[in-house]
Amino acid sequence: MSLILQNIHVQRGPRRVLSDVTARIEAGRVIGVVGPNGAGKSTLLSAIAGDLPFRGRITWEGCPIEPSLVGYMPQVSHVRASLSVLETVLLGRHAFLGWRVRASDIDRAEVALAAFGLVPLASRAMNTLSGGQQQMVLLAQRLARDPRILVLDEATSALDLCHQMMVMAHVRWFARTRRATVIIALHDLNLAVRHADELLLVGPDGSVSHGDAGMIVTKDTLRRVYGIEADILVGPGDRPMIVPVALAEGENEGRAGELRGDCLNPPPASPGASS
Amino acid sequence: MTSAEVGLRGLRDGYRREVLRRALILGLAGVALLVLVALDLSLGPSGMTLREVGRALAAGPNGEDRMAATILWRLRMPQTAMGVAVGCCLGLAGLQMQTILDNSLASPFTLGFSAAAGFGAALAIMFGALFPIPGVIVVPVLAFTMTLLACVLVHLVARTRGATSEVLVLAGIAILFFFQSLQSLLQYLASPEVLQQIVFWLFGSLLKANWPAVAVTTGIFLVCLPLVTRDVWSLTALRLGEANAASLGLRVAALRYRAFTLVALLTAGAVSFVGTIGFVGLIAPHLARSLAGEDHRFSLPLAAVMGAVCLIGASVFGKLMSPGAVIPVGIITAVAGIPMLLVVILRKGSAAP
Repeated sequence: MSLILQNIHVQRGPRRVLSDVTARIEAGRVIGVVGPNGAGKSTLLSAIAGDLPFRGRITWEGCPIEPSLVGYMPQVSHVRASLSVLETVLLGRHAFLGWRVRASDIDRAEVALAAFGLVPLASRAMNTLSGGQQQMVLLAQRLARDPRILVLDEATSALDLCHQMMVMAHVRWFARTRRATVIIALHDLNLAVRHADELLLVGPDGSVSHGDAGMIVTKDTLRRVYGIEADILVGPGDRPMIVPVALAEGENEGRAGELRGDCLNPPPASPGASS
Repeated sequence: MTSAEVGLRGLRDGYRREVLRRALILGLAGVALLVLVALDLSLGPSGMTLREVGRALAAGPNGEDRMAATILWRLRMPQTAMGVAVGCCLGLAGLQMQTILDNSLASPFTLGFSAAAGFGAALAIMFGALFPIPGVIVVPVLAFTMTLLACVLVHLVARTRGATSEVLVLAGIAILFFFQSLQSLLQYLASPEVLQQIVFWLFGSLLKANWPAVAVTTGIFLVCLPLVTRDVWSLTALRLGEANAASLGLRVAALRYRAFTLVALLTAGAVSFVGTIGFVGLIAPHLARSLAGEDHRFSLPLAAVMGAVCLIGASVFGKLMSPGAVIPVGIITAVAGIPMLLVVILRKGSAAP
């Protein structure tokens, strides 16, 4: 079983966001999608989830992807409604719910909630939860759909270090035990390197490189794609650990200058560096 | 039993209790409506005692006491029945509108449907004499037609610009002002007598009710209700926000088209006969949500019942305030609706995280 992307092109107005993306992803693997802001990570995820028109071919087991196979969690997912946590997770399978909610549906929702320690919050209203708690409930909701392909866009962005680890560990467990493919966009390169089996690096020109962390994360790539100089140390499990040192100078001045705005508001400290 | 099984039973039982609580609230709201209906039937300018009303009710429309039978069955009963039907239509339409526009200040009138109905009615009142049909038919027919025309216009805009809540609201505002200005033009051109009739129609009053009108409005409600209930889970899922709902496989645009077409039908059915009755379609959904939560299996029927409760409650209030002359119920709902709206806003403000 594998997910195959063949020559994917996505155009948004005059701009080509993704250009000739080809990759083969085996079931049971966790794929980290990384790249600088605005490169097209979310676009790639939307295309895989069938949420966006694209040119090219995306197949699962040789067939076009059925929407029911996908559990897709977009980046902007704040909930203002006062639905309870349990109701929210039940809605993950809204197409299958009858007028009477079956006990098996509630059990399935509970198992998904239990994976993230959310059962005590089951009767709380969504609009009383923190952003991170909401993020985990929405993740549990997608898992309750029991998808073959789990597509998560920045699913850990509002989580503290403990919950980041918890989510990544569960997602890995889910991929292994359910033979599902998990595709997760991450800003935190160290988190991606640590927990993903393979990386898809989306460059500013819309090209995508695919491979394991050792192959993708090199000083040269970081300079070219992110416009930074970084030291690459050896982290736990012999995986690379990235320590950003400075903005790149010289030939990448333009790219580095573009990124400087982002660097003034850096993302949260990486768990890889602190653990 | 393992601890895991105890946990599972706990959630199941908790969920079942919550469902029972909501069903009970729905039942209690139904009882409250019945009490208000009985009160509304027993109140009126004729000064009939409660016993006389009970006797006339038992004797049926052909009872021996002709005066009591006429007052109850031909004057009060159609008005009360119309109040229930209109309230149900506006409540049901209001909740759907608030859900599809993701805006708690939306009402069935947000997309300009009532302004269109008002223009249709004004047109019929002014030029009705040209048609060889009685005014009691021409006015609602034209009001109904114009409401559906407004719905088509919203459709056309949404088809070209996308059915997002912003596009729908902007299109609705444009249509609202378009029909309001046409209506103002007619009012400006009308003779004083015709102007008076138009203004009276716009007030919204159950005095215009009759049995055929009750039949049509009830019929529209009964046709729309099963169509709405098919989408209960989709509408509930839409409460998670458009991006979330779409990522769960919900076809949000198609749901919005379906829902606002039903809202147009329900609104047309409600206002064509009795005129514009404001605030019911805004308040009833708030009451339903605060009592029964966001699960549309319960909040939709409860919004309908609460719509009827608000409208019949306003009618009873009006009859108690001025026993001699009945104040148009549209004025009472508007006056009483404002403090209720303020309560909703203030409660919401304090509950916000």
